[in-house]
Amino acid sequence: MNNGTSPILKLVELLEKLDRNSRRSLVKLHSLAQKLQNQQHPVQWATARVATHTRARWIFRHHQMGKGVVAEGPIILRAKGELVIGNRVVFLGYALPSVIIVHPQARIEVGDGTGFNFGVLLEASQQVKIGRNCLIGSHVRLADCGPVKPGPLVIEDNVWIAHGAIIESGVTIGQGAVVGAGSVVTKDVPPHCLALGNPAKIMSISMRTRDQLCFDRAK
Amino acid sequence: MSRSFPALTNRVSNKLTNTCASLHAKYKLRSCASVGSGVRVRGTVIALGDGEIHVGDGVEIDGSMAPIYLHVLRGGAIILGQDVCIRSGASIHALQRVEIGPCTTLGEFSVVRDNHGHSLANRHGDFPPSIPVTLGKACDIGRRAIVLPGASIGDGAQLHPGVVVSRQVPPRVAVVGSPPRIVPLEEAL
Repeated sequence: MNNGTSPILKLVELLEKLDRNSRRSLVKLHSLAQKLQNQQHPVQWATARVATHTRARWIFRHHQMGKGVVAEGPIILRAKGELVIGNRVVFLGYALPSVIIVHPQARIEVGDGTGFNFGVLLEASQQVKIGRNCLIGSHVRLADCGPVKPGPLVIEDNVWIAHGAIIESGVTIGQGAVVGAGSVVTKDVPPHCLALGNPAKIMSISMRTRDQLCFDRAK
Repeated sequence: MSRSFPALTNRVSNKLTNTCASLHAKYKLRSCASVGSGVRVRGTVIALGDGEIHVGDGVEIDGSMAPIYLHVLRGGAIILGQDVCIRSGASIHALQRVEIGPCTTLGEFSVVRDNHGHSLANRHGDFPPSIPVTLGKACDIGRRAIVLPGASIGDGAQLHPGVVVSRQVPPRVAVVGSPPRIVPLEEAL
């Protein structure tokens, strides 16, 4: 553990100042310093942080990108259309690269604070819109160019899509909804609902009850 | 050329890859708590976290097509029994305990995890409680199958491709479809 005046902290502060894309407020800098103090390997952590930011800036250099975007692994980007990425979007990449394909005259929009796990496929032939603070799991497929019902794909705020789910084209997923692991969503999901299975069905049990059931089973 | 020549080279190259795989295993699994004899690793294995990974004798891990991802958090354990085979892209996540019995096969891109990662109501908070997962002897986990917390799979059970399981599965049955249903082994074939 190091105290507040360590050289690493000074270095990070300097890097933050140099970083024109992400001019953070003093509060954020303070929280960063606190995080760094809690880390076991502060040097690796700081270098990884800088590296991931730089990688994101390099990958999305031709596109509109917010502050503090992080790419922890490689991303395969084939964008001939419009790609807009909000603030603090995270792309994890431990195992497999994520793939982003934007066809000509198509548009992908990703909201602030959304996190993507590894191996995600994002493909747009018309429009894909992802809201704020969404959690997209590994191996999720979000494409609006399916053969069945072509149309724009809309994912509203605070949605959690779990591992391996496939969202078909022309589907809207409401605010705060959850899509279970491995499910295939063919119809619209209303807000604050849980969709599971293939084809996905809306579950009648509320999410709080399910959490409670999980707690009970853990005991 | 005589017909025996390619066979001979095949045999030599097989021998070489086997020795390379075991050497590779020693290097790749150096962070594991215990590694048995005759373990073979191909391709990439990502072992992350501070928990314990116990690898039994004769385990085969094939990460040549896509990396294999073993994630154990502190205080957790992954226990791989004898002769377990893990195919490309499979991943195991353990917060508490994931136990895989001898001679079990994990198919391509399958997932075994004992924690949901996020609770349904409060998604940006802490981990929800985890429920340990056990797979029995000689199970067959299909491609893209997902074993969720609370699942315990009996000896010789087969999970067909794409199945999602979070309950107890009795021994020597097949699980098919989504939502999953249990059928006798003969019917599934």
